Amino acid sequence: MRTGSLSMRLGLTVSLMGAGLVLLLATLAYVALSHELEKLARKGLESKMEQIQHSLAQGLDTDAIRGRPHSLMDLVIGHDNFYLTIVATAPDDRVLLSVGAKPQQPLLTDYAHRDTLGYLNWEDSYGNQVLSASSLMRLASGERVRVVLSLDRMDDQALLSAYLRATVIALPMLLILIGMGAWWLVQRGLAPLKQFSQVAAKVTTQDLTHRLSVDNLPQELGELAQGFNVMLKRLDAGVQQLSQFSDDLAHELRAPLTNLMGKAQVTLSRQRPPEEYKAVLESNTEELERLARIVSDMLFLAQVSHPAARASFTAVSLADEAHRVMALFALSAEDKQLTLTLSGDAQVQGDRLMIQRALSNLLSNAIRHTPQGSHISLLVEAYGNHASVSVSNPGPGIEAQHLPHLFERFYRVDSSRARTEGGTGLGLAIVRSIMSLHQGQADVRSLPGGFTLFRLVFPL
Amino acid sequence: MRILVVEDEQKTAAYLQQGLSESGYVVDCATNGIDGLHLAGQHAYELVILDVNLPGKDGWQVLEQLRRNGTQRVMMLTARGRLDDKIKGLDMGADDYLVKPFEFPELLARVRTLLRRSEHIPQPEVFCVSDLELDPRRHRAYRGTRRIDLTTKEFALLQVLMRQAGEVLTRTQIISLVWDMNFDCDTNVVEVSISRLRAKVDDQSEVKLIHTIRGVGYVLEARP
Repeated sequence: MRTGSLSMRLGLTVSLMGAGLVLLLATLAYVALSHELEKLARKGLESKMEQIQHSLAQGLDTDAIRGRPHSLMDLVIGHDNFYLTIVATAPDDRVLLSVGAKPQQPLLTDYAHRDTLGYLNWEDSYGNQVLSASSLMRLASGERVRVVLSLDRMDDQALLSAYLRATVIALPMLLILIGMGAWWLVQRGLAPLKQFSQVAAKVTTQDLTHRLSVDNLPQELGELAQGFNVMLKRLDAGVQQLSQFSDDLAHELRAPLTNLMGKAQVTLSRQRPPEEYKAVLESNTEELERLARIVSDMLFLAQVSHPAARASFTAVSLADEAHRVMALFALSAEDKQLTLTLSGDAQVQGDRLMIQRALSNLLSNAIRHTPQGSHISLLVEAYGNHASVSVSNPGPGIEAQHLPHLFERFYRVDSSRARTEGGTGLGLAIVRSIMSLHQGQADVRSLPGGFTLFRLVFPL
Repeated sequence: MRILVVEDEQKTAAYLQQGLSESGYVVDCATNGIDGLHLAGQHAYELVILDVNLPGKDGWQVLEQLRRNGTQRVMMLTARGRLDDKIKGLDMGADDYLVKPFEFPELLARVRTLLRRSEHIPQPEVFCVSDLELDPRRHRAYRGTRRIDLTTKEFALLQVLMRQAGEVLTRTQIISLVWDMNFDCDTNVVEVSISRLRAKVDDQSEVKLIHTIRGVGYVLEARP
């Protein structure tokens, strides 16, 4: 049952519940019906007894009773399920009158002497239910007789058993109907899921454009379909980004490879003095170094996106790391007559090496783009539940159209220039990956007056 | 000293053999794990340079067998730079782990360090190359009789170069040893430092000691 068809399971459950309900209702109806029939029977007996009492009080004595007077006979004859017995009380239990062939033996002994009306349900030798009423009645002569009036309830019994039979026959059919109805309803309700599986079957990494139509879906499935579509959209974006990335990568590698191959082929095409070979090898090594760096950066990006990299986190002082990175860049800055300053401090959880790397990438960019003789400031701040380190430098500024793309892999504001400066085009992408590993973020702002501010925000 | 290179890529094996031979080692090559193990059983190698991706038996299996019956040092070479691979290699008893692409001088430096580990060479108290002297304890350097005034970083750089005089150091190695930054950073700090150091050490002397090997790195040695 655990993994079977949902519609089958629901159908069965609903039939079982329906079975219980119908059974309960049938039982209730049966009880109510038999109770009502009994009440009617008693009422009939009671009114008959009253009439008998009336007739007896009209001046009949024991002899007259024995003579089967009309007044009594009329009451009973014509109703073939009534039986009347009148018994004298003294001096012996002589039967004065007996109408109808029913033996009424139990009544004669069980209801010996009682003034009030008493009832007894019993079963005669044919197995029929009989309801008897008995009472002592006073004749006009003052004598007392016992009157026993019985009602054969064969009809009531037939009615009840017919009802039972009908119920027993109808019940299984009803149950089957309910079960089938439930099954059909569930099948119909789940029909939209077919669309889900059709779309899912069509989705591949090559084709992520399929979407589920949300119209005509019940609310629950509508939400599911929405979620499904959002997931597809995200996957689509991710896959596109990936393919864009390999595109960029191939493009990025093509230029240095062409240079290497061309240069080697040109050099080999004729005899040259050894110095020329050496020069070519040297130049090729430099180009190869750049290729190796792109590959290492790519590997680093792949590693840093892996959550396992988070395992090596320790408490890191942002100012300490900034200080070390500044020491590394002090000479390059001095070379351009730049001054570097650092203020503030904050402790964050992170990977020291990666934080150094992120800061180093920002600082090397800043030094590259700051005009000679100006000032680069690093500021570490802690506020609320965040800590940040920002690097700001004056310079030509970055046009607003480039800002949203700066952290993308291989994005370059000025492609022809950057490549000759030796960057891999992955520096800021690495910064962003490092920050997302730290569950923080990296952002950039171009401030009026030509200031550029890069900021790394860490959660505290 | 004898080194075994187990590497299935012909070109890599060839340049490793050439480079190591030219640095004074005896080098044998095997192109697969089974041959490698066979050779390792026949000769007493001090170091095995082992590629992870090998046909037949892969590097891990070879490493396991080498560790079972040998005492030679093992350096793993691999194109996989993932941290868990690295940990696996070191856990299984590799002495070092180098990720492709690597720079040959770095490989050479690591080979030297690994082989030096067994025979402890005491560091001299004063480093001397030609008429250049460096005394780390008193933090002083002399070129002949002339005292050279150095900043802390310049002193550290000179010490690194002199300690491994005659060996080529790459930019990355120098940044790691002097500035303690263990990643590839985009800075010209080494170029600037070397040119300043050169101005202080070499400019006033006939004999130049600090040499740039274009495309590779820097070396400090007295050249005839």
